[in-house]
Amino acid sequence: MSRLSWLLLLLLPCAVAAEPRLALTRESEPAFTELMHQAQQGAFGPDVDNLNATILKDRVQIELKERGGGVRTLWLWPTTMEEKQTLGMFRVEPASRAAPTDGDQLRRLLTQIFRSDPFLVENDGMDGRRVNPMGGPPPGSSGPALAVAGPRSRRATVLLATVQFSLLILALAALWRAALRQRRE
Amino acid sequence: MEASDASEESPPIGWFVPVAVTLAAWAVFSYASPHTPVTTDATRDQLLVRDCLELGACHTAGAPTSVSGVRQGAGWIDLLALLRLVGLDVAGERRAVLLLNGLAVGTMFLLAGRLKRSLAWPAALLATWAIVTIGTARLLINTSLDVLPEIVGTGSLLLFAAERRRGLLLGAAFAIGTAVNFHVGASSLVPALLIVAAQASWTALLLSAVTLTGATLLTAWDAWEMNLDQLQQRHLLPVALGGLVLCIVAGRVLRRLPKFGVAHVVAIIAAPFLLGFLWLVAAEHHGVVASYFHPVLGPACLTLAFGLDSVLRRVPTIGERTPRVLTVTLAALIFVASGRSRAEIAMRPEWTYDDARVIARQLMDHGVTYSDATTRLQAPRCHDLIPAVGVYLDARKPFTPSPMSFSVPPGAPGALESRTSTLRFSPMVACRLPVGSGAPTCAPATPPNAGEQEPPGRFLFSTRGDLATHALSTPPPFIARYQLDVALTSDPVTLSVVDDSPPGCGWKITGLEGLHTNATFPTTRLSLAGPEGDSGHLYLERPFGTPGCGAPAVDSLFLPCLVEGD
Repeated sequence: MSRLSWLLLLLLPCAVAAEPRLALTRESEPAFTELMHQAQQGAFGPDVDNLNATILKDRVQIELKERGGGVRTLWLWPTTMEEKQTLGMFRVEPASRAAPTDGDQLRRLLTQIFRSDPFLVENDGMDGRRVNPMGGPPPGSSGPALAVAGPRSRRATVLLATVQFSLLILALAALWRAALRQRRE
Repeated sequence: MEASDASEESPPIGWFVPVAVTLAAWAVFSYASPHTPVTTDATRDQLLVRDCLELGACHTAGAPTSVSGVRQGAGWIDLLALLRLVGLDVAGERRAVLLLNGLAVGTMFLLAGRLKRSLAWPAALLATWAIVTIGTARLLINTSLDVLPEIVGTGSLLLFAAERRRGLLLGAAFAIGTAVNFHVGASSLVPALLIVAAQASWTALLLSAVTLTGATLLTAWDAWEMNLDQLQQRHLLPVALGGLVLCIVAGRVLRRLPKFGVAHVVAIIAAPFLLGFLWLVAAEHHGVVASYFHPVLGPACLTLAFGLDSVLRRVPTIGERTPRVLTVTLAALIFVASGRSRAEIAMRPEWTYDDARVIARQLMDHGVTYSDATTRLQAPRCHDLIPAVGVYLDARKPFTPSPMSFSVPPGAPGALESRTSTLRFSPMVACRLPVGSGAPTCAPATPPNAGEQEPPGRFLFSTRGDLATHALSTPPPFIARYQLDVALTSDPVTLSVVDDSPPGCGWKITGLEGLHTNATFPTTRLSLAGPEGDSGHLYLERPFGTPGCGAPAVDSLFLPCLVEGD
C-alpha cells in the first residue's frame, strides 16, 4: 500500500508536467520585425537606435541597442491565465541595465503590435494540431477567452484533477486490498 | 447477506482474477460499443474541455442537469481534460472510460466474493450486463464513468459494515464525494455515508464529513454554490439540512443495534435514493431512464445476485449447482445484450466522432475555421454534426468568410462536396425574443475577422462550450431568431430547414426582406431566383419553452440545419 501511495505521489507531478509546452512560431516574426522598426524610429527614446529580438522557443530575449554602443536586455515570457488579465500576452522582465520604464514601454508596444497570443502549444494530443491554449485577446477587449473565463487556470485544473483521481485510485486500492486480505485470512 | 462464507469454500483467489475480470469486462464493453456516437451532451462536454485546454478558461461547474438550475460538478470535464493532455483523442477517451468501467466490474467481483464467495461471478456479470444494457458504456457523458466511484464508495461502505476499518470509511467518503463531483445524482449516497459514519463514532463522522466535502468541492465549488442557491430558491435547503441531521441522529440510534451488518447498509443506501427518485418524478415531473439508477448499481447487483442465489438454491433440480447455473445464464445474457447493443449502434443513422474528425480534416484543408463550419457545413442531422466537427477545429483561428458551402453525402464522411453558396453569413444577427413581457436581446453573430479586436457583446460560436455565459441567455418561453444575408448566384436555389421537431415547435424560415419569393411564411422550404448579386435578409426562428412541444428543448445557441439545393 505504501509503495502504491509513493507511486501515485510520484505520478502526480508527472501529470502536471504533462501539460503541453508553450512555444513561439515563425508566425510571430513579422510582429517582432515591427517592434524593431518602432525602436529604430525612437520608440524607446533618443538614446536607443535599434533592437534585437532573439526568439528562444518559449521566451524571447530583447536587446535595446544604445547609440553609444551599450545594450539593455529584457526577457519576454508567456503569461498564465491570471497574469493575462493584468500583464497581457507577455511577462516583461528587465534584465541587464534595463530600467522599469523600458519594460513599461515594451509592454505598451507589444500590446499594440500583437493581435493575438503568439505562444502556442507544441502538441495538444489531437492529430498534432497546433492550438493556442491560453490565447486570450489583448487586455481590455472581450474576446472568447474572457467571455468563457472560469475562475480556474489550466495548471490548477490539472493539479486538482490529478489529486482527485489519484486519491480515488487510492480508495479503490484500499478496497481491493481489504477484500483480498480477508480472502486469505 | 453477510460476510460469512469467505473462508469456508475454495482456496483464496489472487489479485489476478479480478484483474482478469476487469479486462474481460473491458473487452465486452468495447465489443458492445464499437464507436462513440455523436450526442449533444457528449459534444457539449468536449467543448467544455476545449474551453479549458485551448481557450485557457477551465470551468468550476459542469454541464446543466435536467433539473432546472442545477449543475453537475466539474469532475467529468476534468477527467476528459486530463485524458486529452496525455494524448488521447475522443476515441482514446472512450477506451479509457470503458477500462475504468471494467475496473468497476472487477471491483464488484472482488467485493461480492468477499461478502459471499458464490456471489462473485453473478454480481460481476450482473454489473456487466447492467452497464451494457442501460447504455452507460455507449455514451461518452458523465454517467459513463460515475459507476466506478459509486461502486468504490458503496463497496467500501458495505465492507466497512463487515470489517469496521476506518480507512474503508474514509475511502467511501472520498469516492462518494468524487461521484457527486461527476454526477449530482450520486448525492443520494450521502445520507448512507453519514448514517454509517455516525453509527461508528463521532470521530469517524467528522472525518468522513470533511473528506466528503473536500472531494465534492475540490474542483467544483461554483457548481455547489449554484446548487445550494437553487435549493434555497426552492425552499428546500432547510429540508436538506434537516435530513442530514436526521441521518446523523439515525446513525447514533442504530449504534444500539446488536448487529449492524451489510444488509442494513444496503437498505440505508437504497432508501434515500428511492425517496429522491420519487421526488424527482413526482415534484419535478422528471422522466424515468434506466441509466439514472447508476448510484445504486453496485448494491442492486449484489442484492439481485443474492436473491437469485437464494431462490435457485431452493430449487431441487438446481440446488448446489446454483453458482454455475447463474454464471452460465448471466454470461449468455451478456452475450445477447452486447450483440444487441452492437446491432443497434450499427442500425442507427448516427454520426460518430470518427466521422466528425474525418470531416473536420477536410474542412481544415479548405481553410474552414470553427466559426465558418457553423454556417458552411450542410449534412443530414447537421445539428449534431456541426458542433461535433467543431470539437476538432481550431477555436482561435480568425474568421475568413468563404463563398463556398460544403455538404456531406449520407454515409460518406470522407466525400465532402463543395458549391458556391447563396448564403452570406457575415454580418449575422442573433436575437432572443421573450414571449410576453421583456425586451428582445440581440447581438451581432459575426465571427471575428483576422486581426480585428473583438468588441464586447459579440455573439461568438467559439464560446458555445459554456452556454450559460452568453449574453443572449433568456429564460423560456422565448423565440430564438437569426438574421442571415442572402446573395443570389446565377443558379436558382432552394433553401430547406432540416428539423425533426413536432409541428409548430421546430425551426422555420419566417421572413425574407429585399428579395422576391412566392413562399408563404412561416415555411421550411424556400425557392429563390433572380439577377445574380441581388441580396436580402433571411429570418429563421424557433420557439423555446412552448407548451405542447414535448420535453423542454435546450437552446444550443446554434443555427438550425439549413441546406441549399436545386
